[in-house]
Amino acid sequence: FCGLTLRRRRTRMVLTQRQKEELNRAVADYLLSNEYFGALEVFKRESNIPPGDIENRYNGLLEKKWTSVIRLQKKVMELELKLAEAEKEIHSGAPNRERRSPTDWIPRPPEKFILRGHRAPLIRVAFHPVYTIVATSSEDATIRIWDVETGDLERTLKGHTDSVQDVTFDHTGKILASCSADMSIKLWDMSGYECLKTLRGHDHNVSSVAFLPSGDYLVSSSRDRTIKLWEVSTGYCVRTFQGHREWIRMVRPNPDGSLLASCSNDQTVRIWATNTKECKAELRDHEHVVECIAWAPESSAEHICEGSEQKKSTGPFLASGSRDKTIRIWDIGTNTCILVLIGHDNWVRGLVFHPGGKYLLSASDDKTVRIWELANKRCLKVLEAHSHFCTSIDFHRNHPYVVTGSVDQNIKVWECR
Amino acid sequence: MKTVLVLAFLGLAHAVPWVPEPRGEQWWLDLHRSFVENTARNADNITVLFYGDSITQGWFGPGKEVYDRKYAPLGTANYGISGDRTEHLLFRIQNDEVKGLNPKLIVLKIGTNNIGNDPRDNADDTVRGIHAVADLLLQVLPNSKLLLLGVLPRNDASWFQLVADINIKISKFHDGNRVHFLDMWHEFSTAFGVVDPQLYSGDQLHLEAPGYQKWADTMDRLFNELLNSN
Repeated sequence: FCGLTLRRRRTRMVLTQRQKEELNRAVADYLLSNEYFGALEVFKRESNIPPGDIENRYNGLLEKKWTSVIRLQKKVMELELKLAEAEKEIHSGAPNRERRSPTDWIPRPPEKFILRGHRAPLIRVAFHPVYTIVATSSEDATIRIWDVETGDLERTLKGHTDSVQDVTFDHTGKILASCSADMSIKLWDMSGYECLKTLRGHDHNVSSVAFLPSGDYLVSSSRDRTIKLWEVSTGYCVRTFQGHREWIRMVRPNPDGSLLASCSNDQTVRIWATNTKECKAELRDHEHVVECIAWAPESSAEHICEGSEQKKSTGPFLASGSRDKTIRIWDIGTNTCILVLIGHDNWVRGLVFHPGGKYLLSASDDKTVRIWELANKRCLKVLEAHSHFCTSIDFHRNHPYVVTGSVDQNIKVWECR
Repeated sequence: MKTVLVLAFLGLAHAVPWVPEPRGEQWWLDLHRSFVENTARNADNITVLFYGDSITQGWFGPGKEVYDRKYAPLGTANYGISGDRTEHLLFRIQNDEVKGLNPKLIVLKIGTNNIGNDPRDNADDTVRGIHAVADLLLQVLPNSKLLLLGVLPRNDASWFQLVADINIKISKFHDGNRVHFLDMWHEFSTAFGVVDPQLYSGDQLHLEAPGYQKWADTMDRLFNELLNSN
């Protein structure tokens, strides 16, 4: 067998004449700067480069182009990796989301929408119990209904003649109740958006309103220091609760309607038996006006017990937020404060429990929303929510949305992930 | 002339609500001495002590029927004196009115004379005075519990506002252990700024007999709880 001649494969690059000339000059510059004078002379002759100095623009060009390959190679690899990740995201959602259960989904920036339209500071935001709809109320005396999936304004409800302090849906979502500094409470039909009834009886600004779970009764609180229970069908006030010494800021029934919680400028939270008018407890630990309260859902009980190091307590549990910048969690079974959450730098204006039970969300005049982990009693996340005081927050019962309202006249919708 | 001026000056000198201070009237000194004697004679039988001003003293007046029925049988001493401010109670307590006593429960209601008449009077000073009285009682009667009552509403809305301010602040003395606070204001008024005319006399400050019954009824549960506690 005869000796094989090694044949070197030669890749033929197709260069234009211009490119070839440029490459030759770059090679010549390289040979020169590395002092390969002999090779340079021969090369210049063989490649027909005219004698004389090589132009400046070829200075170091070959080296540059040589290392550029490595740099570009690296860049290409990075981009290919990013592309692969993005493709994966498109097909199966954010990588962590699969591993996180809905009970851990919290609102994350940036906001999904900024809803603009109110002409004065927002006072309250409240989700519909079923649909992705939110009702908002403002110092501009109107109520606006928005679709949070499209960001569209559905309707503006006019009728109140002063700031609308609170809005709330009944459990079916068919009726909306609102209350105002004009001392009245209005009931609105959500199919035709008409005002069905106006309830009068309070002697001063009505600060908050809530339906009892059955939907047959409504409870309201006022600057006139009373809480009133109203029969929805007739519009009559059937019971008045007295005891608070100052403006009552909020009243909320517990999930089964047997108890009412209220909070006031007199720095106390009071618990009432709905049916007997009896004040069952006066909780006095706050050191300033108590602005807001929220009953904890069943799902929160175990996390609260863990965080407060209580032996198994059945509760029920209530959270309160105050101008003293703290949030307190109370065990209403024993009428004691079992947890204090400190972190906000200004008044705490709104509270809402995460439906999953692990977290409590708060809105404050320090312009942030804080997400508190109950079991570890710490602040998990701070959302820089608005450019001015954040006055209200709500969490949808069934959809991963949070909504906030602010003195900056904006409403923000946040998606939970 | 000089003596008169000096005495007049003393008379006008503004008392400090948290500094013990006697009163000058002879009838007051006599009454105080009678309390001291009562304490010395009945130390072992006094289970309940009432301290306060005219509204408390009124248990021997319009409230007598209720007092004799409900409180006298328990072994009660009523040391309320009309017109007293916190500083006067401090003096009386420090000067043998409770010497050797070991009551189960003290019912304290004071403050209404510390506000609204002298322009130098104010809610915060009154709160401080009430705190001093409460602290002193807890200190000299270490086994007793204190039922601290809020100042009762009186007259009109501006008075209600002052009283509410004081009561919001003294409610913080409640510790659930030795001090238990009770504000009865909404049982004594029909609206903010309006005292219940059925309970009060014409001056909208002092109580009539139905007012004393209402007082007894409103504090009954807490009173019994504290009396029967360990």
